[in-house]
Amino acid sequence: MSQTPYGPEDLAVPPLSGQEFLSLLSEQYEQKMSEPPAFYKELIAGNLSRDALQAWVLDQYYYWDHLYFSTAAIYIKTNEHAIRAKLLRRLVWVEGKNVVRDIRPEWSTPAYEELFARLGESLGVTRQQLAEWRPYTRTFFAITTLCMYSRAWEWTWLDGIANLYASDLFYVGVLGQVRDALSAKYGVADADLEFFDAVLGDAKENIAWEEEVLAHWACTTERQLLAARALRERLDIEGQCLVPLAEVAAGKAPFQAPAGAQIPVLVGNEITPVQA
Amino acid sequence: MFKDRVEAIGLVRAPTGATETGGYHVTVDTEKRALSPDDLIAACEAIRSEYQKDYPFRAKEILSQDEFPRLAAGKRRAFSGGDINHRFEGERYINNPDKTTRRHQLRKLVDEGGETSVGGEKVAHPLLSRWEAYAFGVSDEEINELEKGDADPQILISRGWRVAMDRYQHFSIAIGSGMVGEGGTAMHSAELLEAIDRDRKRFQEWGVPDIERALMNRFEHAGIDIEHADFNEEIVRRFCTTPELQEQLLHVFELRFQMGAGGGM
Repeated sequence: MSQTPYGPEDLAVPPLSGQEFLSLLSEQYEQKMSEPPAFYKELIAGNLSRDALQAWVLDQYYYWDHLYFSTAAIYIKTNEHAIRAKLLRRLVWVEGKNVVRDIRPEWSTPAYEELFARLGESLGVTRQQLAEWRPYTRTFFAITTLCMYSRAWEWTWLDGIANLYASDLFYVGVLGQVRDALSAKYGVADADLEFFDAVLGDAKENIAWEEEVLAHWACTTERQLLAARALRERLDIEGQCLVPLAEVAAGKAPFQAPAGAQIPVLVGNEITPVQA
Repeated sequence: MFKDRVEAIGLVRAPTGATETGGYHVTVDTEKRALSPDDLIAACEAIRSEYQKDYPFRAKEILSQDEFPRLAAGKRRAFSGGDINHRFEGERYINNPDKTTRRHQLRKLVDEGGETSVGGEKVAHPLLSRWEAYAFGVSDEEINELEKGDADPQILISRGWRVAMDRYQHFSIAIGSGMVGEGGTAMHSAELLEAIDRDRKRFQEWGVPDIERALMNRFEHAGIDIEHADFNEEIVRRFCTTPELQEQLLHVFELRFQMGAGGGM
């Protein structure tokens, strides 16, 4: 957040090799996510009510609907041509493979947010409820932080890659279990679980190139220290988005953002209808 | 006079005096209603007409191999400090809260960033620019170094302004600013394509290697900019809807011309 800078004594330590650095990131992931966040532990165990599942869809939709922003922000920052092409591909996956159906006619998968909304419908959440949902304040703060860190100077482009890597590790590590539980313990039909198939398949592909990038480009001590911090920060952001849902599952009513509250980095692009 | 023209539209007034650069300061009277989409486009095109009196459009054409060193120098300058295509196009994308047109802008990012990123055939525009430069004698290694190096000072400030504008202005203004470059290309598409054909013949006579690649940058823009220009105008018509936004668009339109006038500010 506002960490004091690393000094000469911190940076005198030689950098880890690429493989050692990836091992360090893996250890740090395990430290943060040795077990799924509390809400997902309950979900995976089959302990959640229908109401709690609906609250999950409503609040997490806000996450998936805003994911384009933090992804694009890293794309904009990335000046290395080959890596940028990977990020562009990732952005197309977030916004829907069908965006490029003129190039790839066989690509019909819509946006993650659309797939998640369809999952929500199978659990009884309407589109109107999604549109009118006021996110839990903690979720709102978490997504605001993700957007700002991605967009502004808090994360470099390489920190941004480490942050995306963290999200992919989290999706693969946790969402796969969530998918299986929804199918086996809550009776959700396979056809309604397309969201997970899309996100998990994409995440696995992303992890492969993200590891190559981190092993190659995090080649100084300072880059490694900062990228590892970005990985931990993204995992914290993911975890914070699920805290209010654990409260809901425990029968509490977390704070919600006021109606119409906007993520600060998105302010200034309001749409004014054309006057008659 | 340009001032009379824009005032003749009836909705735009110019304050007394010219700016220190000699350009006219255009403003929308905010006590008045917003311009209709047609009038706003007309006001933009009036600015284009005015600038083209002093800086008329000329389709790029290479009449002699003696021009190659000058063209190579221009390319080196353009590569200095790295390519910014993804930055300004990305800024235009990320600021758009309208899901449908934002995804249209994403499709444009794929045009610019390369269909190859999603398994298609067309390469990224920065690579097209490299292919063009090879024909003038600029090497890949040289470009790699230029992209890591300092930007030419003039490039530094003009691109600094451009990216800042795309980042901090309303998305309708940022995308609308594309009407200057892509709109101009779209207007002169046939002329540009004819010039490319003539250059192709000359390149053959001169024995330039990889001619199709060397001309692909210009060819792609002469064609695809038509669709992009239509999109830019659609965004302006739909979303640049208040007097304040329209005033800013006209300022940006003029600054974009000043950035490119006379061979490039």
